[in-house]
Amino acid sequence: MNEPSRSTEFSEPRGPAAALQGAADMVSLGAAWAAGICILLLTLLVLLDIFLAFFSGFMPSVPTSTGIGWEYSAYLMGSSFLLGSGMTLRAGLQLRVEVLMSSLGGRMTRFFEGLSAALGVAVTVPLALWLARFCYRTYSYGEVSQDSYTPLWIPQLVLAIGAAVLAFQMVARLVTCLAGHPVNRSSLGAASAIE
Amino acid sequence: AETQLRLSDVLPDSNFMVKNAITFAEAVKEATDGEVVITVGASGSLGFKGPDQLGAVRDGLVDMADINISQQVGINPLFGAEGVPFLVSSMDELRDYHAFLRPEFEKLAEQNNQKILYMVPSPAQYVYLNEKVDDIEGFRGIIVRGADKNTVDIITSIGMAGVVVPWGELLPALASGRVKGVATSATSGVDGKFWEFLEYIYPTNHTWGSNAVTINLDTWNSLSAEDRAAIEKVAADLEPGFWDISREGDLASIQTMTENGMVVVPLSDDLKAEIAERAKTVQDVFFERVPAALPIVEAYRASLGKN
Amino acid sequence: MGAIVASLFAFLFGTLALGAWIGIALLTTAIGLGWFFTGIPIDKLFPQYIFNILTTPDLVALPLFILMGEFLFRTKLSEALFTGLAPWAGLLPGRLLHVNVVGCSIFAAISGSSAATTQVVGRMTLKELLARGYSPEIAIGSLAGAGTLGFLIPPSTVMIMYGVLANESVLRLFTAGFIPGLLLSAVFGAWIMLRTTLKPELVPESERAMRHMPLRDRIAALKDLAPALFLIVCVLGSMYGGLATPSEAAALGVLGAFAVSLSQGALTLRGLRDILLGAVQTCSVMGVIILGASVLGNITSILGIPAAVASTVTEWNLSPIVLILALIVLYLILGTALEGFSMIATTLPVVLPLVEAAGFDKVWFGIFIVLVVEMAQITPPVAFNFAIIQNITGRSTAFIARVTFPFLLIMIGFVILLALFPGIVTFLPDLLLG
Ligand code: NA
Ligand code: NA
Repeated sequence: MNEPSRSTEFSEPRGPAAALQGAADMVSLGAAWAAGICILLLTLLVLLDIFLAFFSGFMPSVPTSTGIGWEYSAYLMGSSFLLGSGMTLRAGLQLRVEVLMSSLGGRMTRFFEGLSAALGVAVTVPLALWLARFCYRTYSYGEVSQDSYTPLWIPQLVLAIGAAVLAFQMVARLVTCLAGHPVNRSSLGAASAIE
Repeated sequence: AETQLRLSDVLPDSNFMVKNAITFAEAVKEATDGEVVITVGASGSLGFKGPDQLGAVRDGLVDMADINISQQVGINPLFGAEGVPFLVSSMDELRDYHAFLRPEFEKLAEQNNQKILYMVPSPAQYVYLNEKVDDIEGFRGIIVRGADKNTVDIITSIGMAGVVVPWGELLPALASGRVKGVATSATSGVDGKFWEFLEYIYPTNHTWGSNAVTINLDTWNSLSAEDRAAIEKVAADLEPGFWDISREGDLASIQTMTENGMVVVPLSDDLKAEIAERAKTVQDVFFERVPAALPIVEAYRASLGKN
Repeated sequence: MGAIVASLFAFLFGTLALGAWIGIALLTTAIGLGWFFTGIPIDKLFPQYIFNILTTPDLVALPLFILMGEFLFRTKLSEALFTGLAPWAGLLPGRLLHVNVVGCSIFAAISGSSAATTQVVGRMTLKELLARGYSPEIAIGSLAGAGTLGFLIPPSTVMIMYGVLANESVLRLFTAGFIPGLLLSAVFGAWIMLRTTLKPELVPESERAMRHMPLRDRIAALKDLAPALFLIVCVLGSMYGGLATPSEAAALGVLGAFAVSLSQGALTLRGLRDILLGAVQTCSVMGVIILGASVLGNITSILGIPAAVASTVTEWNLSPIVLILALIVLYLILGTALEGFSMIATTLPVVLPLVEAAGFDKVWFGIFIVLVVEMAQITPPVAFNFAIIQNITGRSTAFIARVTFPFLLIMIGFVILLALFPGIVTFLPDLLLG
């Protein structure tokens, strides 16, 4: 088992594979920023509910809650989890057991990297499609949430987009791997590391 | 050949609805000579949540489910028709109301590719507080947790501050005083050991709700005519007993709570009338949003007049 | 059934060994099981599962505590905690390693989750310990071990979930967690003292002089704990003061951490960007694994695997203590691959009646469950606390697993102790709640 390959430096490869990877990176970074906004909004929403409950004790004109806090903070949480996953994958931070992969070295490492990306494609592409169809079914049934009557296709669409971004990044990773370019771009990593 | 069916329940094993479902499953196995075997997955262990159980049976994700009907309002608002505040005041009245409502629910179930096998009501609803309230002004501003939007709307209309809090957060919130009361059934009150946090029980009977055990229609039609008839008979035979269990669960739970030091505070007729008057706005809003419920309710009210 | 269980483990561990991402391996296994063995339209089932899991309100505290951790990482809190606790921890053999255990115990009383405790305390302490030259072996091991206190010392998300499923008072469970939590923390401390006495080179030479500090300086150092105490007030104070529910308290923790970093002038625009994207990445790492583990948990429930395993155990007709030992083994095995919440949800329906029949108290079993879930946090391949430590230090899972192993053994011994003396668990709730 080994650490995520932080040592892999990102150089600028050229060609169609690099163009595809560049596009995937741009989309992933945009989605990651959207995920960050979701986390911010989630925090503010929960804080708003606390302050409303607190101040309504003194000021009867203040409502006791937003009424949607629990529901929407859960939507925002799920959205942030999936929207950030493409960029996290590209940064080389998604967790794996690298014991076999890294002990072989060189060409075999790349082979296993490709195998793992292929498995990733085989899982994430159908999941993204299933989520999109799920979202469309909910839309066509006109289903809304139990408490706020929010159309459920909206949070489902965000999840589908997050899954699609991950799938796109996974496809790009497979192509990048086949083209022999570096698969991880560690400069994208922001999660605080000690070493 | 033996048919294995899965039944999804989001309630914990200890809940009487789950116990009923297990009783039903055993009776079905016996009545069909072991041809139809139902496995009950309680506590949401099959991965579904309350509001998506109807859809799960519809899409064939699970063969059967014990569905909280009022949680399905997102699929069709008419599923909320039992929640009309202060329409029904006892379980006997609820049975009469069901005579008009159940055919509508059966139609809705069929539209969603499933069949209702039996329905069981949740026990009567109460409001639990730490304060002794004598008049309507006493309710003002108390933060009370309701399980769904309908309950929250009703208790808010009475003057309390209704909030939605997930069950898992409720108990710590009660312990800390972040939430100062709860509106729910007596069986749930015992589940949450409310006497650790609250003192007074107000029998408000503000709303009613039932669970329905349904089966996917494709699954149903794949069973032999003999087995289908046997299952229907089992459901019809057991249902009255299940209602009694719900009624007894209510009485037993109230007894448990009073034994633990809680006090039941009967509502005066004046107070009852005042509460019902205030909740009328919720009724009006409901009928405005769900006009289909009005003729059903009117037919039920008319039948009350005849008796 | 045997064939299904065998193919489950073969496939899961096979894909993991080949280097598949943990979340992807879990999802692949779940899809495979669903596809071959259930006959359910999985193209409709999986999106419903994904939506349900990713919008579970009980999880909302997780991103909040992660965000809080990212803020705290950029404050001078870690240095302050060290300068505040060091003169006191320095009195004990093992020196500042005790800051790991004490820090985790304190933070566990703020946070409901083990992962968040490991995250926040690890961010604060590991950097300092390694910079000061402590051996990574004991520094990382003690963090991974003590980080698990997050679930045992209340508040605890696992206890809330167990309380709901087992129909047991959450307040009682919370109260029951205090004594075992503090006791386990003390045992970890004792182990550190023993270990570092037997092997002094684990503690750097320069740290061994600290015991000669005047008492006045030690007391003066305590003022450095002010920011940490302020955060405890934000989270614990708001919760016990009736201002916030446990999840809401996490948001006040974020606000408090924001205030602390603002007051220290530690916030830059670049820093804010890193805080946000760092939180996104950690959330995504956790989220994808929770997703995979929960979906796999659902599928195994559908197939009746946990029930089959548990009923096999029932058939063995074991004595109570042997039953508990068997359950420890069962949960250790399940815990390698399953995440704690799915582990509870899938096994409790069968295991709880079995345990009650053997004469164990439900509150006692709740604490047992918390401990086995904590063990699951530190047994690879699916090991959340390792995931976090890996994220912080970049060390390999194999290394972290090796240095954590003594602490896992201590926890197993501790559970057996609780089984022999159940009063350790039930004493406080009986005393306070009757
Ligand atoms: Na805790
Ligand atoms: Na594990």
